[in-house]
Amino acid sequence: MGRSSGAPETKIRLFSAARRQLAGSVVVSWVRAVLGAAAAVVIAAAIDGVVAGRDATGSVVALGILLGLRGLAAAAAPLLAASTATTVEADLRRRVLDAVLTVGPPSLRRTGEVIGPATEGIDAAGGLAGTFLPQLIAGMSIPILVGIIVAIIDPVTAVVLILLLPVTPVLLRFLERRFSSVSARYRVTADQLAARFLDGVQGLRTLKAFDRATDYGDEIAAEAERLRVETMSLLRVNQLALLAVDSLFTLGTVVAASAMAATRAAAGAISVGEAVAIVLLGMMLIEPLTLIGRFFYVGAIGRAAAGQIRELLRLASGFTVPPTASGATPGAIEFAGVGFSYEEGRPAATDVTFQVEPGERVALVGPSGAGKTTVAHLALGLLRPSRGTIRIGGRAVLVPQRPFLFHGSVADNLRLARPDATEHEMWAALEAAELAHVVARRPGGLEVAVGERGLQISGGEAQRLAIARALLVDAPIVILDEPTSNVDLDTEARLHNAMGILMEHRTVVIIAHRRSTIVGVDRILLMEEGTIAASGAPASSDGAEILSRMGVTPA
Amino acid sequence: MTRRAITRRLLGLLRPLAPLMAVSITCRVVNQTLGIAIPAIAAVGVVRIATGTASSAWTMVGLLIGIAVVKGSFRYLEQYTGHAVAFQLLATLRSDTYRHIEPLAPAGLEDERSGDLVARVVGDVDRVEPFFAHTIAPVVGSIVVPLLAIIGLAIFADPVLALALVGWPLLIVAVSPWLWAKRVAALSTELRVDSGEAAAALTDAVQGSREIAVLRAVPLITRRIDDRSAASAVIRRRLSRVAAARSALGELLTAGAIVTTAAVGIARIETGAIDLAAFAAAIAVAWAINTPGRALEEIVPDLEQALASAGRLFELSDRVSPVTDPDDSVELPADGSIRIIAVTVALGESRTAVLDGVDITIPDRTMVAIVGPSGSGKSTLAELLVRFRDPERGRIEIGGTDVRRVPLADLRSRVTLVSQRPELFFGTVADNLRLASPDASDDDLMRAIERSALGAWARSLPRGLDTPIGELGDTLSGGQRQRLVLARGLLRDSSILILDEATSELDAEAGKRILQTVTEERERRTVVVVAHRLETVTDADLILVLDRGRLVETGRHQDLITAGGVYAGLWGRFLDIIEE
Repeated sequence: MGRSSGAPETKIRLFSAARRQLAGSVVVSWVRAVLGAAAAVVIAAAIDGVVAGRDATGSVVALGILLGLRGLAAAAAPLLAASTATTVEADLRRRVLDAVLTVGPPSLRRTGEVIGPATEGIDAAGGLAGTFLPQLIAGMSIPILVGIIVAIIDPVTAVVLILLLPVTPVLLRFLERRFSSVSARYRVTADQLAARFLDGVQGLRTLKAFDRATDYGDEIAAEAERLRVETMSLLRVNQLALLAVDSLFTLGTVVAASAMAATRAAAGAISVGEAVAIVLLGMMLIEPLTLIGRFFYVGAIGRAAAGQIRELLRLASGFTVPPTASGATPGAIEFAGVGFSYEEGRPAATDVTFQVEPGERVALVGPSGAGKTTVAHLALGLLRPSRGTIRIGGRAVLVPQRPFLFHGSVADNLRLARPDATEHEMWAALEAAELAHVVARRPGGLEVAVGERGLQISGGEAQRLAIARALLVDAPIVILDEPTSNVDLDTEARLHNAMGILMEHRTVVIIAHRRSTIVGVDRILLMEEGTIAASGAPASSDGAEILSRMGVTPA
Repeated sequence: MTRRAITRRLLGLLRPLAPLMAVSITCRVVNQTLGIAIPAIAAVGVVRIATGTASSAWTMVGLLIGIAVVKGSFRYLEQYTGHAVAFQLLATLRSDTYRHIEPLAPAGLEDERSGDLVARVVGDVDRVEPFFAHTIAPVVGSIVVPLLAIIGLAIFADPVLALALVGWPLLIVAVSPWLWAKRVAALSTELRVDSGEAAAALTDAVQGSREIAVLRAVPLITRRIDDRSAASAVIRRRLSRVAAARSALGELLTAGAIVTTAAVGIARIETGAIDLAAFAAAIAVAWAINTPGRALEEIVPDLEQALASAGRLFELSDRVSPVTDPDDSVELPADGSIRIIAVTVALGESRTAVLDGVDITIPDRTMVAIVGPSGSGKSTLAELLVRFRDPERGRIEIGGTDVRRVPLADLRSRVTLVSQRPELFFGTVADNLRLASPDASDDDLMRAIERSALGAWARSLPRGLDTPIGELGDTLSGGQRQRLVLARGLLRDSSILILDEATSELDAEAGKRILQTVTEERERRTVVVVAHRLETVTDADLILVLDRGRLVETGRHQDLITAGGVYAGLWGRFLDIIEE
């Protein structure tokens, strides 16, 4: 399954699900700014009133009402932020899940690279959307609102301040970049140190065995010190920009406003009260900087995470879902000239042709890397062939060598196969998979959690659970990857019985690693270098040839 | 551990950083105070000019520009010293934690309740560090900055207005962060659990995507993840209500400050107690005074978390290692013979016996294989020989000396354990090999590499043995890792070499070369092989078969096959697997 070539690079919007909440947050910021500005105007009126000897009670009451309303509006911000974050996170979880399932399990070679963005990454992106983004948008747009209100008081001052307006957004962007680069640097250092630390803690057995644990501690300390000195000397210069930004910001806002207010008041163009109001309005321009400073960490981490998530979603947008092949006799498998490659120029399967009759048992053998797993994944529809056709007569189910067990109970794991399975059906499947006695021993039975703190499951038991799942699916075709690892004797006998039950009345393709298995099937397919090199019944001459090539003597 | 005790220990940890932190906090306070002073001065200036008491606007503007530059400089200093503190803390917290837990490993770090102690330690360190790096300064600032501003107002403008104003910022600090703190802490914990579960469900879905596709469980999994998202959304909504109340409270207290200042100020002007400039200054101060305190709103839940994490870390570092050096030690003789006498080991909460009264005698310079089904106690036996744990009952003698009477460092220099988990470290291939023998020459390293069937591999490396392990990443297969770790073990000149399932992932060819190496080794020292692949044991001087903690069979390969017991069964299955 490859990326369809020339797919249009669509812009991936991460926060579209919370568009309304985001807009709401910005509007709330605007409302608060307007109320604050109105309060400044009221103060101006009060001062001028006092100068003129009028009673100021009305102004004080108005001030209280405006600021009180501003306080109530402030309550909306956290509510909207939380709603934005949860909406974005839920939406991204779904989209990442879709992306992962679209790209397809076998193509996701390194799941580790996906898990970071999918877990902490999504939380960080939620923080970015809920907390940082509205502040940034508000910080950039509020100066315009303030400018308009200043214009009502004094157009000349407004013109000067509007000429300075770009200072705010430009400096904000600049500052944000600086903060991001410093915080990225900090994170790199922290990650390196954490990796070193993790290495040491996880490897303590080895370090203790070689009596080097103390030395390693010294090395961690020395490395940390080296990184610290290096980073600090970098910051010494890099951060000088902060000096300029902080000073310029103050100058561009409150100082500029005050200078204009003083000049205009001296010229008699505005009253004392209006001059004070302009100073207060200048102060409002500083607020975004304070807020962004408070949340810059959230912003920097969120931005990095958003980039990773976007990358992942973009990867998926280029994929097409493989169509389900059909048209074969129920229970049959047909491969005709099938080719597939994970990477350009390195085919994993070339011209694979074979048929499996309904009810037949076929062993797939061959050296590792010959393409057995690729063929199994193709038959399951997890990969789409780049050449040739595959017809599958009905649903196929897989019992892998290392089945994945999901967090949750035994029942949760079984219901993956059949969501509406009754307790009776689940116990029957466990019984057939020779796992019922293990589960029944535990308090809670089917509801016992699988994993660390619950039911300790060995490799052999995990495979039996996978067999129970496969039994619940009740597909006509079964693909089994036989275990090679040494499990204990008792477990192994049970595993074989369970496999036997699963194989009854079904078409079976088994990736075989055992002599006894190979000798017991209807037909053997030998894979070499991505193609079927030979096939035949174990008793036939072709089969005997394969067996002898595998170093197996027929029983 | 009480919160007070945890706090005291944490502050102790911070003591070396106190001077730097004090500088950082001072700079922050100055920066923020000037941030309030600038509008106050501007307000005074503007009023004086407008009312004609001052003639030129330029004095004021010049003063403001000067203060703005000074303010910027302090911002720089604050950031610089703040980062210095953060980085320093980052470094010391990790190396201190490591130093504290290192003596406990491995037995002292095992925890019956939670499986993954290592992950927990790392997570706890991560939670403690940012808190102290990024929150102490805001807390101090939230109290000191308003007080300084009010003192300034009292001196330069009007003590009465200062008095009217002083309650509001203190109220914010005193009330807002602590309001519903318990509820917030509880909800935060709940939220962490819930988002943890949502993340785990998604991780599951990624790792198990093949199963999901094959079982056609996409709708089920999507619903499961949506349910988790919805559950955390409910908690988040509750938390946001508290945040909303706090935010409103903060703003209303600011409103209170401004309105009080306006009302009192106007009255004072009307009675002629103050002039218009003092009033304008007070309004400007009131406008800005609550900003530092608002920074506290988010801190309290984090504080709770950081304290809990710190508590766990301290508890861990207070543990006493179950394996300790003897008070009066004896020297270990050069003889590599081993006697295991009536040894019983019980593990886990249920204290089930992993080894149950095992007696084994291994002569010097022989090769002994320990085999048995998984869970039979093989690896535990190997661990006892290097005292990774001590037996509950019975004792272990090397060269006729009880291992508990020998200093741990001596014991571990004489007994080399190559464990089944191939642990490699940050650094080059050579660094990893020299862990075992710091003085080994390059020739020594290459010899060990050759003997571990890695010669061709090592020569193919871009920078030979100086290639960093990290660069190899995924190209290093499980088998190659095992061989590298084996080479490390061979480098150590010890009288006993234990290979604990050290060859489980090797292919046939490498297996043969390793077998030859192991056979050579027994000429020089006692070799104990805990075996997984039985072809490595057919040649052993003695095969010990363990089953459920008991020694069930002993003998040479042929004898055991003839006997037809557990070993013969394992052998039959071994033959059944096709070599690839």
